[in-house]
Amino acid sequence: MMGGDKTGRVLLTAYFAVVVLYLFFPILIVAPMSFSDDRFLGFPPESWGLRWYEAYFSDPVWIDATVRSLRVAAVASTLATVLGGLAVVGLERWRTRWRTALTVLFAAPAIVPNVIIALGVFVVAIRLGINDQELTLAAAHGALALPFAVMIIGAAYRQIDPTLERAARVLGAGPVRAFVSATLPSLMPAVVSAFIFSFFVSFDELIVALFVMGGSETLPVRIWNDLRFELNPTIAAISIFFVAITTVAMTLAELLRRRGANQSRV
Amino acid sequence: MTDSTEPSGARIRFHNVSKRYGDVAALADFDLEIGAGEFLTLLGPSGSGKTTALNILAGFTEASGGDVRIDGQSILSLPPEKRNVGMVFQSFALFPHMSVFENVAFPLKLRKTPKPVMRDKVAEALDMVRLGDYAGRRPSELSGGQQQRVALARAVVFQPAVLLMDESLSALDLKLREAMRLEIRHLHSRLGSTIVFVTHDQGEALTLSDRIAVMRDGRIAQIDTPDRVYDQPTTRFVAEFIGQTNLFDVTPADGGGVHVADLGVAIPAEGMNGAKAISLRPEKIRALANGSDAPDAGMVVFDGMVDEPLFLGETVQYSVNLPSGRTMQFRENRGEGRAPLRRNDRVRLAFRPHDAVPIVRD
Ligand SMILES: Nc1ncnc2c1ncn2[C@@H]1O[C@H](COP(=O)(O)OP(=O)(O)O)[C@@H](O)[C@H]1O
Ligand SMILES: [Mg+2]
Repeated sequence: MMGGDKTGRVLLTAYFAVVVLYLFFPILIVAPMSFSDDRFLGFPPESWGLRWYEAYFSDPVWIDATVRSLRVAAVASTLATVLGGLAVVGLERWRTRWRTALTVLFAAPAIVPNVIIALGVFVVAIRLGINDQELTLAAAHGALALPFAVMIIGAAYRQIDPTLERAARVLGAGPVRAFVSATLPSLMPAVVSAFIFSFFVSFDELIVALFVMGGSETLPVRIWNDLRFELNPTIAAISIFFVAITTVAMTLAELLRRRGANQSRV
Repeated sequence: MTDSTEPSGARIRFHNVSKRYGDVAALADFDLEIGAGEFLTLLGPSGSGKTTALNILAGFTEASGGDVRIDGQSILSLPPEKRNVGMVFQSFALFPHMSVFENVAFPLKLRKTPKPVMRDKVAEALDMVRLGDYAGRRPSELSGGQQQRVALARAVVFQPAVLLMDESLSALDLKLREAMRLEIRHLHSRLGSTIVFVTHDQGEALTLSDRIAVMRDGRIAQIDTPDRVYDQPTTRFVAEFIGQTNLFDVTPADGGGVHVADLGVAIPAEGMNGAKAISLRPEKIRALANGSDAPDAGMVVFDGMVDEPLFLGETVQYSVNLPSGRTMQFRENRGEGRAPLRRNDRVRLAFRPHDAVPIVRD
């Protein structure tokens, strides 16, 4: 028995190591490459330095694309979070017979392949003459992120005791005031978490951006275009830079979500 | 909280209120008048419509028919925040992100009470529930009983004319629940507001209430003072729901009174007209010493055999098999100067005719 236990533990540890390696493999390759001092992309690097980080920060084309991506992501995540939050409140509260249909509708952007969405947005944008505009892309990204916002905020909403709002009402608050003072505070961590998550859904989205954006590149589009002509380690540097930022932001989002889940219990 | 000069309770009137959920009638022909400052309890099993009645009064549930008036004014068209009622929920419903002070101040803030007045009132309300030192705490840092008292303070701090409590004590453990009963009684005499209290716990109802409305299937089965509900139940349901009792079917006997087949006796009492059954509380039955006659000539006497003695502390409850095959319960204080009865002892039992309560309906 003891022997069997031990073998099991070793196997489990090995399995865990393999899965982690599998998940982190791209980063394990890219991270060293980003600190290379070589002129061309290669693994492992022959010399070390921060040259490619410097190249990124000093190239206005890269910075321009990055700032554009940040702008689009900010608008897209605001849209997704506000619409998602309102959708949750509506879906959870007014129990119409359309509820199931509406729930599916709000999940649709996560189910339909991005290429199809991209094509659809492209056709409509051309027809309306609003292609190659940041707001158009932001709207499309907002729709892509909406299912995640609805999921995150919805899960938190269902944890909140509905009698809290009733208590606020009977104590003298109107419906809006009751929602704001009784429900919203417990919902806030999830809202912030949904915002951060939506932000990154937009920030690293390539396909829709490729279809919609012509001249003005977002960061993923810039990377894509850059890769097609030459392989230089700038891309590795950018990747690692944003992996670091994303990791911090996502950890923050997850911590907030958990704190919210704990707080809504008295 | 209130000047003794100002009468603060309101009269409440349910007028033929009904509530349907599809085919289920949660409330039917619900008619109830509650006096100003009265402590009225809605008592009934789960699903009998207590919460529905309370929620219609608070404004959370829309009635399907009928009218509800507070001090003569129909309130059904008013939203909850305009009804000026306080409410304590089973889950306490304290705002988790607010301190105890902020929770209690919440209704005052909504009423735009000036800051200094607000501080005084909150302090007074918290002192009243003996939580004056806890104003800065979060609800999560309080015990269940303390949270309950904060909820109580918050519900009364704005001096509502009506205070509603829905199973407010059932989340607490037994000891705490009993302590809270005393606090609530105390609070009631101090505030003078009308209290509508909902519970499925008959003990709570009996100790707290001025009157109890016993509910069944969305209707009031009986409404009376606690002692009358206990002593004079009019239906089988009420007799069995409140306290313990023995119910026996009866048939009319010659010359008035009724005949009890299970006991093989006739009860000559008056007032048995129309009785379908009688209710005999276990504590109203006495065991006679071996072979002796009833101490009181008018008592009804019958025989049985002890099945199972049940030790309850200061009393012992005996299960007794009757010749008819039925089992019944009787209870007596311990150490009544007679050897305790044991299993299979033959026993002669007696009760006073007027302790047999006629039951006229199911
Ligand atoms: N929202 C609702 N939808 C459908 N049926 C309900 C709803 N609320 C209550 N009921 C039904 O109405 C009846 C009375 O419920 P309720 O007032 O909660 O009883 P109590 O508080 O006495 O336990 C029950 O049969 C219950 O199932
Ligand atoms: Mg209930």
